[in-house]
Amino acid sequence: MPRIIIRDWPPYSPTDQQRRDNAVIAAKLMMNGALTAPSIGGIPMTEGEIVYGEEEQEQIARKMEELAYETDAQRHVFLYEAVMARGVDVILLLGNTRAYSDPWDGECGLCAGRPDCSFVYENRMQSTGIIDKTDRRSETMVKGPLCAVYGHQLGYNIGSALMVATHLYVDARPFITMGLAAQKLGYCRNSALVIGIGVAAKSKCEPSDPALDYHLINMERAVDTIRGNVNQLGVRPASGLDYRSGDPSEKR
Amino acid sequence: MPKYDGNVFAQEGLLQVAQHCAQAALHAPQLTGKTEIKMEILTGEELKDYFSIQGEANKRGAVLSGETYKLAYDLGQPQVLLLIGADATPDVKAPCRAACPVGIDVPRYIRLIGDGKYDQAAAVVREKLPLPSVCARICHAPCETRCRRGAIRDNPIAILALKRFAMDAALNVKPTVSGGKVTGRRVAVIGSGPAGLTAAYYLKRVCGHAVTIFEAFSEPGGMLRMGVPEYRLPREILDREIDMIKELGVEIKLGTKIESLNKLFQQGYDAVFVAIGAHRPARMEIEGEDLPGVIDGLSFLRDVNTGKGTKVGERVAVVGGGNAAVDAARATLRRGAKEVTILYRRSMAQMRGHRNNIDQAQREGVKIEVLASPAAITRGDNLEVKCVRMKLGSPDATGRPSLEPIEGSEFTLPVDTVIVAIGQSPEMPPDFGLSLGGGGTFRVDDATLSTDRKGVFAGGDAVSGPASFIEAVAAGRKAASWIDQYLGGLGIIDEALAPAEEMPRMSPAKEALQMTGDDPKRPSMQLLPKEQTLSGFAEVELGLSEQASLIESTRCLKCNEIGYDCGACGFKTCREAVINYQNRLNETGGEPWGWLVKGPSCIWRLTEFGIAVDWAAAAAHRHNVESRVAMIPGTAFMRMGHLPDCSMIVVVPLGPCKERWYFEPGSGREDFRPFATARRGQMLQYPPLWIRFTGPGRDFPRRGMKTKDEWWEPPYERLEIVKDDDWGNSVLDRDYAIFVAADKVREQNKVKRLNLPKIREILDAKKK
Repeated sequence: MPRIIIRDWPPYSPTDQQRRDNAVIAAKLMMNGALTAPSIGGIPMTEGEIVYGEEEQEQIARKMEELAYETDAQRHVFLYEAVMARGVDVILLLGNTRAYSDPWDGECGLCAGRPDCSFVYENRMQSTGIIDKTDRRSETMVKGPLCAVYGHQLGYNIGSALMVATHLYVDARPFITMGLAAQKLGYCRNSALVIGIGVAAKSKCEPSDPALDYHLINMERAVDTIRGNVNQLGVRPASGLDYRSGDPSEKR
Repeated sequence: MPKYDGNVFAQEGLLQVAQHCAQAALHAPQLTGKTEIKMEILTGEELKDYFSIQGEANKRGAVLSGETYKLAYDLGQPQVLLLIGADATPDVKAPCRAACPVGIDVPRYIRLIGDGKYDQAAAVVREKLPLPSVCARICHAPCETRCRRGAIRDNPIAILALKRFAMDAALNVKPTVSGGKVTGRRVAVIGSGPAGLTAAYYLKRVCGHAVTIFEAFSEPGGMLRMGVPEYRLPREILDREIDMIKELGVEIKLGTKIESLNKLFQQGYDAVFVAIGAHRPARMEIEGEDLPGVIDGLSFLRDVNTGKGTKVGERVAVVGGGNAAVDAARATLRRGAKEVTILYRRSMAQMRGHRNNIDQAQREGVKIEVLASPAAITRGDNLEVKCVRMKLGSPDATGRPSLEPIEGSEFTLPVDTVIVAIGQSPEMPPDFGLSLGGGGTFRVDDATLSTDRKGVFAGGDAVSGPASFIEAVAAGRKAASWIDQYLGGLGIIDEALAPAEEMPRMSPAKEALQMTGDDPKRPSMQLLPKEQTLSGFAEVELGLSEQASLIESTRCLKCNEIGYDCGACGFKTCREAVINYQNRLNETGGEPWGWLVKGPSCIWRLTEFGIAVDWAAAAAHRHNVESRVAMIPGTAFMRMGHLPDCSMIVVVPLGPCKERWYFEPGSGREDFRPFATARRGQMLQYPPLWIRFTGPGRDFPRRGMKTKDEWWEPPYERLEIVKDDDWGNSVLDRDYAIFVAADKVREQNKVKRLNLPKIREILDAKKK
């Protein structure tokens, strides 16, 4: 039997859905922007995925919260941004498919290895220069070392996607944490390096100025808390006579 | 309206577009918030340097990839270049380190203190200055002002106290004597203050020149000895560090006042560094300033510090707000004064004296009367200082609030002695014949500290006016570098004194923290008991305990690390990546050169940098201007010394900038026929792919594949497939050739030179 999930709050109402659908269109256009970004060597290497829907976003947010407790220094970043992963209308994931298995070979030294990319090769199972992608074991969140130039290349893709977002007047912001969590969950599965871009079309762009302890004090939690304590707002129940017998708010 | 005039008009328009692109890059969204973008716009003559490097790259191309390089360096015919750079190394430049005028790696020595490696922490400090223990006592600690811990509603890390702890713990560790390099050139340094001592140290120890310091006073140290009282800087500390400089072979001629530069040159000195400090006291220009009992602060401190018995009365007024005024006030208490009042015309926030010096003065009983300006000094039975209250107005040209007297607010302060310490200026001997700037300071070229006389350099307070210790040290370092270049050296004064760092197996700092179990707070400096302070000149600040230092080191936010510990760069933790980077820095003597760019890199910072570059290029397209993103040309600009703090530079050329492919008309390679290639079953690929036939992963020869196709031969004599080792070595040779060409450009442009011998050494070591 399929899962039937029912929640009375927060709303995922038809009007919300309409707005989210529009944001998905924006995310699709942003993806096109990412694909036409300047490309190192003109080689195709961008992978994208659009994630939206309450359940899917919740899954990514929970993974971010899980990762938060695996790190000390950036715990608050994971926790804050998990709230944002729930709150945005859609998440656009962009990854680079070559950074793990096909380094640039541009003699650059950006990763600190020799000019023959041996820093990457020596840390991989490989045969005749063909890296075994099936070995996905990793002690760290990302299985490095990755080709640093292709990490830079991913920045071009993200930049172009974000530039499209500015043209479309949707709020968009790139997140390392969303990408890390989504990649762990199997999104952009051909990429070792993934960045999540939260896209939203709301009147208030909350991630721009989050409150302190944002994972506790954010709009959703605040509204929910008020709902639970509605009497504290001075809401009086219409007690006494049936309200149909007279307006209970009129002074007697 | 300007008319279209060929390139000129186009160039003007492109310059405006370049500025729009720069704005776009600056406002690009961030990923880590820790990547600072730097930019430079080049046009016209400034592009010539680049094309000279491009020529060098082509001429001395690697055996295999020469043609590839030619192509990769080809920018087309752009008229304006926007250089965008960022430091994407895992070692983010922390704000504390950026604030230090000599760039001491603060996070690193705090980290080493936490590991219990005090000697290594001291070596990190010593890498940037020869007077580290002095620095740990009297520096005004701009690093603490910028500490990010202080910006999150907490107190900044006690960086100065930690430095003091490390230096005290490593008291008996002496740096090795110089490597014995001798150039045969002689340098005269006039003045043995912090600027002079620093320049002498580097000129002798690192550059190998014979150095003689001429000091007018009978003891070395300049303002450190004459201006800073012993209770802040014990003389054994100062003497020990000066002795270390003398042990290197620096000669200090005491009691020798130099009146003429000509005589020095006649004596055979090849260059002179004038670091005579600022010893002429400024005057208030008010009535009664010359009355008996009114003395200048500098003379008073000099007498105190040399043990002369200048007498002061019981009631003393000190005029001024700098360290000289505060020190004079504290010294008078030790000379028997009972009531000491500092009169300062601005508010406490504008006092230039160090915060802890002011705090300790107040602890000792010095009163500070702010917003009070002396208007006249009269003498009846006693001296009387007539003062007027001031109010602060809008900021003046220096950024400090202007002053307005409050009418009717006059008051009189009866005193026995008045000490005036409102500033100093340099006093140039008349025969020096150097140009002077504002305030009687020496006029120098800001980039090189050279004066208008050939071979004469100047720095320290003599150029800047009264400034801080650490700024004088920075001037000494800069002077040493440029004097060395003037004498034919490369001007490289960077030293790697700290040994290669290893990941610690245990953390004494964390153990210390576990023992206390509390949230650590900024520790207070241990001070000499108050009753003992005024009975003599014993050092007042006693330093931090080991326990307190270890715990304090845990409060560091490690701003130098991104902090995700994600592993993308190949190291398990950010700390491991930072250590690796810094060991490379040591290995290369301060030049962390990769092959084309500087690694290792934090992948996220590179991605963040990529977003900014993309926004710049996209902004050009919004203005319908042709642009592209060129990485390899950026490496040439990096070697030429543009955007010096960046580990990677990318070029966004604006204007006609299409790269030429081999077979395009005009490329000189028209005879390359892709169809013929295709017929042979070869795929035509983007040129960098040709070099993929070698490398550890590309061991085609070992697989028995044919590595030299006949179709290569006719037009591509040099483009042959060679053995892996030969190919790698030829890349190294080409790299060195580009470094040499870039260094020539640096020399012309008066920017920091490349350490070519070191680079040669590193490249040779990497050859197989």
